[in-house]
Amino acid sequence: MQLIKWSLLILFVPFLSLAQSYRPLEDKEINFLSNYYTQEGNHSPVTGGIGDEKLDCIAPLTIINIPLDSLNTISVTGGLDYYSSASCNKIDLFVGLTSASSRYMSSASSNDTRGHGDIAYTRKFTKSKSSLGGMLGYSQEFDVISFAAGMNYNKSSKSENTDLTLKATMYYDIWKLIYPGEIRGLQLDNVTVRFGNEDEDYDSDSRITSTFTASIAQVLTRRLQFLVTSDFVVQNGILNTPFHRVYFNDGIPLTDSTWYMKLMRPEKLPRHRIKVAVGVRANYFLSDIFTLRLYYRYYWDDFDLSSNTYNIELPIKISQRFTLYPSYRYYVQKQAKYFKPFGEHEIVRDANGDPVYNIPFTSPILDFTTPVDQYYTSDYDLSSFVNHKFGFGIRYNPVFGVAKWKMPKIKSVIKEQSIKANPKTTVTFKYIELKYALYNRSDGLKAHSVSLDCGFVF
Amino acid sequence: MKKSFKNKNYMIHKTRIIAMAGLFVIVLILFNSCVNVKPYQKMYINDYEMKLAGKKSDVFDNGIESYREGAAGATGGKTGGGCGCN
Repeated sequence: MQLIKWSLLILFVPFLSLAQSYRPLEDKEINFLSNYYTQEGNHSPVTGGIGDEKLDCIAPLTIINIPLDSLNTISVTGGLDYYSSASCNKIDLFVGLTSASSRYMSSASSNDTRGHGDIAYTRKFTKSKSSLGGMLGYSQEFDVISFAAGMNYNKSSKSENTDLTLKATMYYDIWKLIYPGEIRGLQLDNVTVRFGNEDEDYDSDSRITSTFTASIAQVLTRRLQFLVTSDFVVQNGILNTPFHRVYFNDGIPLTDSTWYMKLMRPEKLPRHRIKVAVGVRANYFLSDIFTLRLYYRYYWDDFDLSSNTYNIELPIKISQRFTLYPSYRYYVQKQAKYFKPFGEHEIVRDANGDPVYNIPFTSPILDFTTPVDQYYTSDYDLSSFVNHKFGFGIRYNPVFGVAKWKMPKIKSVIKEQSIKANPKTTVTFKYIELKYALYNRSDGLKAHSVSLDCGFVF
Repeated sequence: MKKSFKNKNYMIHKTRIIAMAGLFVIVLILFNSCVNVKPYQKMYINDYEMKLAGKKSDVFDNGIESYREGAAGATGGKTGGGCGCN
């Protein structure tokens, strides 16, 4: 008996030492994603809350996840948003009446490309079951350049049933102040609105967005797990879009012959904003075919905008290879206190209710009468509405992948000497997923979104 | 009257935020007393469809929703800044 015990132990020990020193590397992953988005509506903020909101956007995106070894991982993301916008074409609403030319005139900004990328690094600590990571990002489009940096920390319990994540991210945006064409060269708040053909011909302003996220995930039963996540956001700096117009209740119609008499101001919002969002997610494994995914979020900010989001998704595994994803999202929003529709922001009136005219005035558009409110917007994204989203997706994910290709031998970057270099020579097209979403907003905005995701491992 | 209504509105939201934070702490405490699911019992929890994190393709929908709605955050996606909102 003793001999058998010692024999078994001797046989087992090599495997024990191998288990301590050998940790198989995760596969390198590349995801090629793309999205086509189109919307239609009649409340463009560029024209004061009325006008065409037609927009088309094509957005390819690539995500690369590279495990350097069993503890260190790098992730790189890069993408483009190419969009054409009917509303951006109206930044110069009265073309021909503004004298100077500029490459930032509407015809240029109605089509634009936004490029963005970020790189993230994560380090795992196996003994403490935790990880620490950092991120740097950059984004650029015709009127905004953005820099991003962030850190995150994750800690799991011993049983790995509880997971805590803490994140802090900061965005620094530089906005080029491109105002509506009819006020370029005029005095706005005692400052001349600059414009021209070069970047330096425009004034700029900045925005800092700081986000703090705390999430806790918990396995409740063998079939149910739960996530509570909260975001606390502080924004400082320019929070309005310079070329969004606001028209006032001055009784003057907006026509080709009277536009220059109607009071118009660029959108004006406070330079400080606090946002709080709390979300709850619950996933329940109903059966081998159905899984139930539920999500709820409450949002509030100090613009007095608040909302509730309800989302339900029901993945259906119709076979080992195919999964369907029907979903429905219900979003209800209460408007920000600075929002009013086109022509409803009030101007200063006398005791009889007649407008008080500023005589003399520096310009008819900006200075003929005076707004009552300090802050004002006619951007319907900040109005009260209900948004219904109907979604459907399909995923093709065979066990051995969609396809495989042999590639030339590439040596892995491996540091641990106990692991033999085992260069992978096969690229596997792992899965393909197609999603469609229809958005139907109660103010008339309708949008379609089609997304494609192709996953590869090597 | 208007001022008191505004203050009341603010107080309602402040109360909601405090209630949410309190719920977060209570959930944190209660989670410690949940059923301890062993690793070999997690065949359903580890299923791909049970992942709590969103899918990679959700980044597009999260972006669309943060641009076209006033709310942002608690989705794992963008919360503001780094525009693209035209």
